[in-house]
Amino acid sequence: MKKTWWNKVAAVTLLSALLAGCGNNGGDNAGNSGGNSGASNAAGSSGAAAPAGEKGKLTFWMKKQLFEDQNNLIVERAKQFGKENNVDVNVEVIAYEDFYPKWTAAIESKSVPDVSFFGYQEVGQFYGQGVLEDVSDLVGELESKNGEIRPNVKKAVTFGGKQYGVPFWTESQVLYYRKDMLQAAGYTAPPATWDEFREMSKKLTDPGKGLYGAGVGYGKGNSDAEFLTRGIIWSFGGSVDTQDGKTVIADSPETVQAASFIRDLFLTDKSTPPSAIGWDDSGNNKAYLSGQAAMIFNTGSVLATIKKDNPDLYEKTGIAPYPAGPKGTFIPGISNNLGIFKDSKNKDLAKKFIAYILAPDWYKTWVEAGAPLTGPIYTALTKEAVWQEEKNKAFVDSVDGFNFLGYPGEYNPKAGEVFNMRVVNDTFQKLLLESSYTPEAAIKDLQAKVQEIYNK
Amino acid sequence: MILMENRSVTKQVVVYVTLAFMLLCALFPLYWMINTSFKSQGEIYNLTPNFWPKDFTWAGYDKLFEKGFLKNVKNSLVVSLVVSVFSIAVSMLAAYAISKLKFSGRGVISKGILYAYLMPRSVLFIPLYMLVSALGAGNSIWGLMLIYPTITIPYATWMLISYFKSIPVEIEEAAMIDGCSRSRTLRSIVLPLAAPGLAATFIFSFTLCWSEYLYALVVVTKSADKTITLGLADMIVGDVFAWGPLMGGSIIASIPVVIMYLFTSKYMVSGMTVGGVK
Amino acid sequence: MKIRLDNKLAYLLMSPVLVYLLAIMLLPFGWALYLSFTDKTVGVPAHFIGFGNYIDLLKDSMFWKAVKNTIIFTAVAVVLKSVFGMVMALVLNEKIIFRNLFRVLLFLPWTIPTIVSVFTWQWIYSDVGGVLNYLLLKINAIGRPIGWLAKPDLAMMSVIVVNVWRGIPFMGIAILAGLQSVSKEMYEAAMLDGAGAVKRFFYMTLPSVKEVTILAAVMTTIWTLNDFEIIWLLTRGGPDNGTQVLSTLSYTIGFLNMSLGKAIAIAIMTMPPLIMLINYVTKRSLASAD
Repeated sequence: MKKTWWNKVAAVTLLSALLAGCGNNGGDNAGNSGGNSGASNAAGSSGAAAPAGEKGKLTFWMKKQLFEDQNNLIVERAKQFGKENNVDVNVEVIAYEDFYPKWTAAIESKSVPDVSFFGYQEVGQFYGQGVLEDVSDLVGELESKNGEIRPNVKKAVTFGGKQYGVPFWTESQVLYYRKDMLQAAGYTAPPATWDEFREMSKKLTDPGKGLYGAGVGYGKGNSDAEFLTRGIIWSFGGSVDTQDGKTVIADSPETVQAASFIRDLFLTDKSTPPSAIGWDDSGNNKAYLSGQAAMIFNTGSVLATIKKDNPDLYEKTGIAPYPAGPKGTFIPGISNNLGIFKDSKNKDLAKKFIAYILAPDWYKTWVEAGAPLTGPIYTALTKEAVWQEEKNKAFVDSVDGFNFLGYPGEYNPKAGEVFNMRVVNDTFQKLLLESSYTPEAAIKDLQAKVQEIYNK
Repeated sequence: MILMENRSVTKQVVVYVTLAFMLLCALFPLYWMINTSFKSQGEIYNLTPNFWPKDFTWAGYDKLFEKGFLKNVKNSLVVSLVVSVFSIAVSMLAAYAISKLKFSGRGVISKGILYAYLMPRSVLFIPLYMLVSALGAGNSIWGLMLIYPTITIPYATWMLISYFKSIPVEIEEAAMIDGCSRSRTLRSIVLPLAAPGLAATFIFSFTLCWSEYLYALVVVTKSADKTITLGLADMIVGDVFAWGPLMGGSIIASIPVVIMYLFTSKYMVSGMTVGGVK
Repeated sequence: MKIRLDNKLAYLLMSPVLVYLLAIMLLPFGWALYLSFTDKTVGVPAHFIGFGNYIDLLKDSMFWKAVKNTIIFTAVAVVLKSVFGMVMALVLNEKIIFRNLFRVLLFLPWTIPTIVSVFTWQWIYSDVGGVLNYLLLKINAIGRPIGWLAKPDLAMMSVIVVNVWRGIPFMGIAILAGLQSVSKEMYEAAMLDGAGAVKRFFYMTLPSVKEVTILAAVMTTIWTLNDFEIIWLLTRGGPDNGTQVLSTLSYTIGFLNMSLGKAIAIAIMTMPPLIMLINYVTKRSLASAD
C-alpha cells in the first residue's frame, strides 16, 4: 500500500513539474553554469598566481584602532614609505580578536607579514616559539636617535637582555568615576585606596534605581577583569604567578585577603550590577555609558568615545589612577609593539619601515590622534601639552606604575598562558557564584591550576 | 455538524495563536536590530530601552556606505553564487550515481563524502590556507571560491541523494525502454523531477557561503575583496562597538538572501517533499 | 532485478566531487590526523607523541566538563529545534491567510549572519537597556534585572535560545516539505473515523515526516556540535566554564595557547559519535533503494 501511495505522489510531482515547464531548461542551466564556474575558477587561481612586478613588497599587519583617524594616518604613512623607497606597502588593518587565527595560519604556511603588531603577551608567546627576530639593534638605534623609550614598556618585550619587539604605544587602565554621583553621596575626591573604593561603592549603590557603585565584571572572555584582578592582588602583596618562573606563589595570605576583598564587594555589599559576572570587555563600558555604574576601570577608549558622543557625560567624568592597596599602587600594564617574524623575506626593509613609523615628528601626530587611549613610548613626548590635560594625565603617569603578567617574576610565556586560559577569571567566577566556596579554597585551587600550567 | 464547526473554530484559534507566537519570537530580535540601527550611539546606551528611536538617525547607514559596504555585498554575492552553482552541478552528478547506480565501493564513498564534513572549520582553516596560498589564490575571493565547496559539496551531495532516490525507478526504466539514453533520461526525466530539490539545496548552500566568517578572515586580506561578514566584523573594534552600522549592515546583508529565497521558495517546499519521500 | 555494476559510469559521474574532495580535503585531513598524535605548537616542528594528547585530555576534568556541556547544548538545542521546527511546519501547512508571506518571515532568522545576530541577543539579554529584563520587570515577573549570561545554568539556557532561534527555520522548512506529502484523502478519512487531532498527529502526520525530520536533524546535529561563534561571542565558555563546549575549548587551546596538536585531538574525538550517527542514517537511506 505504501509503495503505490508514494508512486502516486511522485507521479503528481512529475506532472506538475512538466506543466510548470521548468524541466529541461532548469537542468541544462545548472549543468552549463556549473561548467563555466569551474573554468573561471581555475582561470582565476592561475591569474592571481602571476607575479606582481619587479617592485619590492612589504606587508604590514596593524591592529585596528578605535579611531578612524589613526587607521587612516597609518595607511597614508605606509604609502609614503612605499613611494620614498619604491616598494609596494600592503597594510592590513585587523581587529585584535582576529589576529590569532591569522598569525597561526601565516606562521604555519610560512607566508608571514614582514611587520606585525603584537601585544606584549604575544611577543612573549612567539618569542617562546622562536619565531620572532631579535630587534635589539633597532631599539638601540631608535633610542640613540629619538631619545629614551619608557623603560617600563621596554621591559615587557625584553627576554634574556634582548628585545623581540619595538614598543609602539602604551595603554593604561584607569579609574573612571562620576563626579556628580560622588558629590551627591558626599565625596569630594575619588577613592585613593581599595578600602575606600569598597566603602564608596556601597554607598553609591541603589538597586531600586538600578545604580551600582562598582562597575566591575567577570565574564570569561573579559581581559579587563583579568588585569584588574591582578592589579588588586598585587596591591595586597599577593601574586598569581611565580618569583622564579617555576614555583607558583599564589597561595599566600595576601592573595586570599585580596580574594576576600573582591568577594565582599560582590556578595556582602552587592555593589556590582546583577549581570556583572557575565560581562565581556564591553560590559563595563555599557554600564558606565548608561549611567548604571558610578565607577569603572578601563582604558582610554571610553573617555575618547564619550568626548565625541556624549559631551555631557564627559564633563561629569573624573579620571584617577588605580586605588592603592596595603602594598601600594600596582597597575597591570598594556603595551603594544611592532615585531618582525624570522621568516620575513625583507627584514632590513621591515626595520627601516618600523623606524619610519616611529620617527617622532610623525609619531607624535599619530599617537595624539588617539589620546588618551594611545600613549607615547618616548619619555619626552609625555611632556607634551595634551598629556598634561586634567583627564589625560593619569593615562601616561600610570605607565610608571606598570607591572606585567608574571609579577613578581619576569613576564614569560607561561604567564601568558595563564592569562589566555582565563584561570583567574574562572576561579573568581566560581568564588562569586558558589556561596559555600571560601576564598581560601579558591586560592588553593588557583595555585594548583597555575602550577599545572607552569609544570607542563 | 455543530461539533465539527466548533472543532474547526478551536483549531483555527490554536493555529493563529501559535503562528502569532512564533512570529513574535522569530521577528522580535530582527525588529530590535532595525530599531537599534536607527538610534544614535547615546540613545543605544539608555538605561531603559526605547521601542522606537527618539532621534531617528541614518548616520549608521551613511557610515556603512562610506566604508564601501556595497562592495562587500557584491563580493559575497559573487562568491556565494559561483560556489553554490558549482557545488550543485557536481554534487548532482555524484548524487545521481550514488542513488541510481550499483557500483563497487558505493557505501564507502557515500559515507566518505559525509565524513569530510565532520572536521570542524577551526581545524581545517590552517591546511586549507596553506593550500590556497601555495596555489597563489590567497588574498582574494578566488581563494574562497576554491575552498567554500568543502562546506557545500558534502551537504549538497547528501541532500540530493535523497531527492534522486525518491524518483521511482519505474519512470526511468520506462524512458530507457522507449530508447532514451541514460544522459537523455537524466536530462529530461530525473533533473526536471529533482529541480525543486536542486533549488532547495541551492538556497541553503547559498546561505552557508553567505554567512561564512573564519575562512574569509584568514584568506582574504585585500579590503577590495572582503565579504559581508568581514565588512560587518570591521564595525567591531576594541570594546566600544559601532552599533548603528553593525545592525544596519546585517539588515542590508539579509536582503539578497531573502530575494534569493523568494525566487526559489516556490520550488523549495515541494522540493523538500521529494527529498523527504523515501 | 538484475544486478549489473555500472562502475565506469558511476565513477565518471562522481569524478568531479571525488577529485575535488580528494585534492582539497585529503591532505588537510591527513595533516590534522597526524598532528593530533604530535606535540605540535605553532611555529615549532612537531614531535610524535603517540596517544599523548588523547590521554592528557581523557585525564583533564575540563575536557569532561566540556563533553558534558556539549552533550547538553547539542541535545537540548537539536530537540528544541526539531520540536519548534515541527510546530512551525504544522502551522505553515494550514490554510492560513498570507501563508507565503509568513513562510518568508519565519525564514528570516536563518538569513542574518551569526556574528551580528549574536550581538543583537547580547543587547537583548543586557541589564542596561536590555529589553528582556525591561519587559519582565514591567509585567512584574521579576523583581530586579537578571544577569542572563551571569550564572552557568542561565547562560547555557541563553546560548541555547540563540542557537535554537537561528536554527528553527532550517528544520521548519524541511519538515514542512515532508508534510505536504500527507494526502488530504487520508486526513479526511481519519476525520470521518473520528480520530482526534492528537491521534491524527501521532498515527499519520508524524510517521510520514519521520524520514525527513531525521535527515534534517542529523545535519543540524553536525552544525550544532561544531557551533562556535554563538558561545564564543556571548560567553566565551563562561561563567565558571558553564558553557565551555568542545569547540570553544579547542579554540582556546589551539589558537590562544598555540597547542595545535591537542586542539585537533579534541576535534577528532568529536568524530566517532558523529560517524556512528552517519552510519546509522546512511544505512537507512542507502538500504531503502535496494
